Amino acid sequence: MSELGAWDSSEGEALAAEAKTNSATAAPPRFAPRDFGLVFLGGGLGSLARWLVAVLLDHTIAAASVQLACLFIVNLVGAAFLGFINGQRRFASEDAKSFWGAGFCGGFTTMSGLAIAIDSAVITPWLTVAMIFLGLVVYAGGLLLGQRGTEPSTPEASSSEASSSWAGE
Amino acid sequence: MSLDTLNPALLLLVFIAGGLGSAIRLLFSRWSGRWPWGILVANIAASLIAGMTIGRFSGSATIAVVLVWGVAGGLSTFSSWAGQTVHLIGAGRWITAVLYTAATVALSSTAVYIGLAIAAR
Repeated sequence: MSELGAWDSSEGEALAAEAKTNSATAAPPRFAPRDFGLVFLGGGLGSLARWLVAVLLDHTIAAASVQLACLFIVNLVGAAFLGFINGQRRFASEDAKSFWGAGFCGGFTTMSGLAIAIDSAVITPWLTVAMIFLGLVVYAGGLLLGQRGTEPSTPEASSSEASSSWAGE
Repeated sequence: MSLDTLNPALLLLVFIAGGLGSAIRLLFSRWSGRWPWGILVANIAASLIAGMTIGRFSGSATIAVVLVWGVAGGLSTFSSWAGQTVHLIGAGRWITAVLYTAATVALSSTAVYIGLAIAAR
């Protein structure tokens, strides 16, 4: 979420050191009245998007698979996007973090949906572990991708960027 | 779940309910020390709400869609858990990361059961 802040390469070590001694979070999110409005709008949009993903899947794949497929799509896409937001300078403003991070990504992804799926055996224990593992991987991947995009480099990608698997787009 | 609906009124309700759930999660997220307690509690509370709703209403009822997909879905979050856990791992706090993850999944799925049990009473 937004409290993770931007982990650009120059600040990463300082943030990690601070986190070791302080808390689970690097920088607390801004907590102003306008943030409730921004998180409301972003969260509403994210929740609506999650519902639309389910409706779309319901029209395209077998009904029995909709819940599981929807969970994987929203949670992994949302986690990757949050990582990207936290790494990208373009999303560094508090307004952007509230709307897109705590708002959209928070509303788009769901833990209660995963809990329901676990209880109703829609998702197997191994798939649950896979979702958890992949969630961490795609968040970290999004973070790296976001940071890469903000590095002061020439439009022609350096050789390391060209060979990197993160530079997929 | 009746997912075959794009009823504008339902879409608006999901938007509002998801926004409210998310705004409440912002309140919870302030509670964070060495553990991200706020998000953990938000995920558990959302699962409890979802369980109670499913136990009380048919899954396809509008009220159930609004409460489960809107309020509970907006209140709970997978992305914040992922971000916080990656951050914990990055800080070398592996044990906290594993315990936080285990607590989130175990307590959330337990909360759904408790919600179902409460609704059945």
